[in-house]
Amino acid sequence: MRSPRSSAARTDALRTGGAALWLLLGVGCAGCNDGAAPDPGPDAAVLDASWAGLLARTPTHFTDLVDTNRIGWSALHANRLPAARLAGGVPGARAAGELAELYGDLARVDSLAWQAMVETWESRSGLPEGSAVTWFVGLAAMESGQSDLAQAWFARAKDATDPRVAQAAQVLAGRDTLDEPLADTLGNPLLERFDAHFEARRSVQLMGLLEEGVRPIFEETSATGLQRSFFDPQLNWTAEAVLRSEAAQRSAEGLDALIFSGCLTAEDLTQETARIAAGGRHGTLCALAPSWAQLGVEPNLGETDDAEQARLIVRALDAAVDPWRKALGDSLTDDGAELLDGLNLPGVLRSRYLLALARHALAADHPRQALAIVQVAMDLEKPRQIGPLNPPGFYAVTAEAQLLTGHTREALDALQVLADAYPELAGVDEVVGDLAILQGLDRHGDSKEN
Amino acid sequence: MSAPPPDRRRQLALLSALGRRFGAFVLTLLGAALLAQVLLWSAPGDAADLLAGDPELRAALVVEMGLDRPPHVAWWAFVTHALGGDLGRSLTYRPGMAVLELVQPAALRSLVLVVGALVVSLLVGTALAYVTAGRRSLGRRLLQAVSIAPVFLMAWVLVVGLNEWAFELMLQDRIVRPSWFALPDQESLLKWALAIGVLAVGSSAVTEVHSACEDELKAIRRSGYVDAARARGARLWPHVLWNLVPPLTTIASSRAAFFVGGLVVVEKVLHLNGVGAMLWQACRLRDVPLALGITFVAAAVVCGARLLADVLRVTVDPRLRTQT
Amino acid sequence: MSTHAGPRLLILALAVSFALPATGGSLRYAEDQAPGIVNPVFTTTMSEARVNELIFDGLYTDNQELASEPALVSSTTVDDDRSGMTLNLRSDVYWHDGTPFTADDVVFTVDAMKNEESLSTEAGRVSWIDAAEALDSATVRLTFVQPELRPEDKLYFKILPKHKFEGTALKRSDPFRSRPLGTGPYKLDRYNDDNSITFTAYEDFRSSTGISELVMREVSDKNYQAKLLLYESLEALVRVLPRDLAVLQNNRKVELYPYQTNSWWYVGFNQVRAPFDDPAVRQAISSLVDIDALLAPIGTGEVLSGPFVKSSPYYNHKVEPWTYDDMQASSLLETAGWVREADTWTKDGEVLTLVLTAHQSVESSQEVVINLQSQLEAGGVKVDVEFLDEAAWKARIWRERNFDVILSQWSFDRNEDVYEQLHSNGSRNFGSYANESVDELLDRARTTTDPYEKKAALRKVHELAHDDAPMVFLWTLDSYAALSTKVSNVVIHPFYFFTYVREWRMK
Repeated sequence: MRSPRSSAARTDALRTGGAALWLLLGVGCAGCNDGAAPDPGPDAAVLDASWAGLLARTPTHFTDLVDTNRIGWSALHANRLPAARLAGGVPGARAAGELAELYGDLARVDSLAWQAMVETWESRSGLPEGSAVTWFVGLAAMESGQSDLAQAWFARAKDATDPRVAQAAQVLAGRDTLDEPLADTLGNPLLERFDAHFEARRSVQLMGLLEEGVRPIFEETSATGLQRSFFDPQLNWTAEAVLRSEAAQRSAEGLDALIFSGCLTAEDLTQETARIAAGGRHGTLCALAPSWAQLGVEPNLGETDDAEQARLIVRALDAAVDPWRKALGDSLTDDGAELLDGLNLPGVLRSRYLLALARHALAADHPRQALAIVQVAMDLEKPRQIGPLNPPGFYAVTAEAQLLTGHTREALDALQVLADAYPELAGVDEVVGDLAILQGLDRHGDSKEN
Repeated sequence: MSAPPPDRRRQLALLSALGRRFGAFVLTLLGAALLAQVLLWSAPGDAADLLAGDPELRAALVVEMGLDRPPHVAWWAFVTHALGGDLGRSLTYRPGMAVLELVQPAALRSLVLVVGALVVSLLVGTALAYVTAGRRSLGRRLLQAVSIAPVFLMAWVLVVGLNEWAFELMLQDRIVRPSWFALPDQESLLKWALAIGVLAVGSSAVTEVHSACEDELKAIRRSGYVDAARARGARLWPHVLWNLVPPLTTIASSRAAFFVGGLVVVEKVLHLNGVGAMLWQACRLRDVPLALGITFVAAAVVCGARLLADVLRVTVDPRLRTQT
Repeated sequence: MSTHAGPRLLILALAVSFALPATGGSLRYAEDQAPGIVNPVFTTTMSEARVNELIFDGLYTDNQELASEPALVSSTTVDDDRSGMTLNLRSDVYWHDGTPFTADDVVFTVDAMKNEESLSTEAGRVSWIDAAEALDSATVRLTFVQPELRPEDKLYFKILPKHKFEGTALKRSDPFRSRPLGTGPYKLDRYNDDNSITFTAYEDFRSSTGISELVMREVSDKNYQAKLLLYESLEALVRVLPRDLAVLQNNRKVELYPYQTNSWWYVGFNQVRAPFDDPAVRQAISSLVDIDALLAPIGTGEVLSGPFVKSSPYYNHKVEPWTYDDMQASSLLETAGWVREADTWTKDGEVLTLVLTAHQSVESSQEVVINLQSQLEAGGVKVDVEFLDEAAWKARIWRERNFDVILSQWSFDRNEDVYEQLHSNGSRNFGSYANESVDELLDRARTTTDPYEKKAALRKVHELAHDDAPMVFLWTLDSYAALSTKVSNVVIHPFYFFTYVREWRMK
């Protein structure tokens, strides 16, 4: 009675279920394509010829190069610039050059912040009577080339309460250049420091100035007993000048100069070096290299400070490099693959190039573009660390760009990263912090949970 | 005077039975509302806490929202208004909006789910019972095993599994994005189908229907009138089905409560915005009028279903009219 | 019973679901919780604040440099003695129903917020204004309670339409709350069935708006929000969970935008409850916590030693965070009279035990709580754990201050004002911390205009707050918003998110 009907029913059920299953799978796989090997793209040749491609395909070049100064090169790769500089040799010189860029960025930030801070303070509640701050902001203005402004501040500094400040202001008033030594420092600590900076630049020796930079160089006590400490506004300028000369003393060539840079080929590097020597902004080395243009990565920032335009450039770069990296990875020897991935050579190439591009944007007066570039370039897995993919220049560019666009508090985030690694940058951090405090006054103070 | 005639007596008995049922219905509504009110009252924090941190403002809000009344007073106020059709106004979910207005669209959506689950469980349970009647089948054991799993787990596994699998394939460029992808996103048939399926299986409705039907089918198949029908060459299924109606209505009405209870979970996992999800939000936001309103409506639906099932059963099965 | 009904039905179902059109062309973003009420006078949640940013305007707003910029005013004059100001309003502003915007609306808004019957949570925003008067239809005169240096920084509150209300005593139940009318770039078009809200660009807005439609979806599961972004069912996530960062960063279709947050996590003690009134006990417990180990599983961030983030100018870098030091904890407790017995500490017959209370809704809380519990128990402190939902938290912690130890976070705006958290009169000082020196320093910091003085005062507060250990300061977490690369020209306001949404473009 049951069996024939129910067995038929059972097979029907199975058939139904099976059909449904196959249908689902078929629908799910609609548009399947078999896993073909990724296409490296037409620009593979250019990238293959770059230092990253070259080293990956012939790892022996790398070991030959690096073995000459293992400590220096590995520090340079990891962006531990002071350590690389100490190791000397070619990597030492290159590190000195990069440090010069860094201090240069921060010198501009410092002077900018001093001016903005004092001006804001004055407009809010007026500067305290006879404070030494007028001297320091004058010095900062002088260093950044604004001699008229500097003179105006020194004129006011002559009325400072502290006689040493008044005296120093008296000496510097009427002087619009830093290229002459002082006749006599008069035992005045401020003038002595000024002289020390002059000596350092003349003799191209830092002479312990960086170590002293971790502390304030002057303290004043107000009538109410409040102590104000001031840091050295000249420090970064001196460091930049000295280190740039140091870097120039030992020029590198060939692969020595090319490795871990943002340029693809030696021709690029030669061309770019010539451009900078002819008046291009320092720190933008490789930003306008022709090989990148061949890959469709055009550094044309446009007329306006359009952040989207900048992001498009970065996306073009990723679109060129990502497929090449995938394809290259398949064709390498074990050593080469380990080199490519272990040191993340394409990532290093990308980050150095983008740093140069971001500085180029800053030089063109496009801070938002610079910020956008750095934000996309940053390795977010280690967001506040300096590492192979996050050169200290990223944070310096971020700080400058944020400051220029009025985001002082955000600039402090970037400066904190640098101050942790370079204690002598405490001065920049403090003055930008003071600016942030002044800009945050009178705002409605609010807090919320979560 | 002699006793009332037997018919009359039967009618009276029937009416009094239905009357008792109705009384139970009203009591259930009141009880459900009281339970909900007490639970919410005893929960730490209230609507005024959520809206204001400042103590003065909070005190003023408490008075304005009537949160300073003891729970039985608030409950009585709610019930008297509710029976007149006014379920109050939401406090924190959509402040100021009438609860009835808020609950209506959500209730309709949930009704689709519940009715859908009911229909599916009846159909599937019956069909399965018909196919596997009596035998210890693998399918039945599998079904029982699955029914034991908690509703939310099933729903979650389905949603996540489907989405993850499809997403992996999309990432590997093997397929283009199917339109049903991201289940919480679009109103697709698949989402509703999943919800109904999970609700039906998860509240053990399918297995219950299945076992009840199995028993009935065994009894029916052994019965004399089926043999007689077969002997005459008449169709069997009208007899069988008609005889299945009483047990099925019993199960349907008893499962209704589980369907409504399972709504909260299914709606949350599949993001369906029915009364279940709304009740969860109302409790989280201490929106007493809304929570009470939903509880009231849900209790009304469940009790109403039982009442309806009773009426249906009595109508279908003449034997019950005498049994009362 | 047809045997092929099954597959046929399935095919039909799939065909129908395929036929459904895919959405596109509008920007969809997710919120944990839909706004309960759209009225700036009653705003309590951040999702409401963001919606207000779309629909309403204030007299002033932030420009992209985060400085005050006129929005509804065309020019202003502040009196010489700074006790009042005159506002000249723009003439090209209309409400979404076409009615012109006038000075009456401004006066109405101020009066409504000040009116005590409104029970507004935002009354503090106008407490500095003594009176508002409409001199004519385009001019408003404001007089202040005290002279104000920069009144334009305080004129950000949103303006309401007078003609939509019956008086200045506003009610939460006014129908306005779901049919709002503003002067902003977007108008609330409709509430959809699935709890989403559609906003469409207002055609007569005074300048152009890039994106024509925005949709807010309520997705209460934060995990799913990130998935939806990856699945291209959303275009924007306001805040990304730390654990989703790696996946989103590697996806080339999504772009991450960092937030500047002044926010930090902490473990707070109830200092009016024994044994936490004893600083030695607090310091001992602080020495049992391995902060790095607590942070690692939930994301990246920086460990702190005081009530400021590390990059804050007020952070005192000379103060080191409490570190795990079992010996120090033991010696502190012993000096305070506690005795170690097996795996507990006892004093006068009482065992050292605490209940750790945390937010139920904050994802990472649970992991931190569990790890913290095991750390403390390893040191001999018995720990029970409880999670409270939002309403319970507000009642137990904010109102009653009924707790032993809490795990929570604070987010601050640019002012980084910790007065409410650490001053003995502070309304958010749940632990009832009271230190006279700290009080004095905080008072000074609030009133001074000398950055050096403010810096010095708050750095000292940092030092004292660390030493007294009223709370264990934990860390600040890295925060990001995520947007699809289909959205271009994105600038995000660190607090309100949508302030510059008019500039955004969609492909």
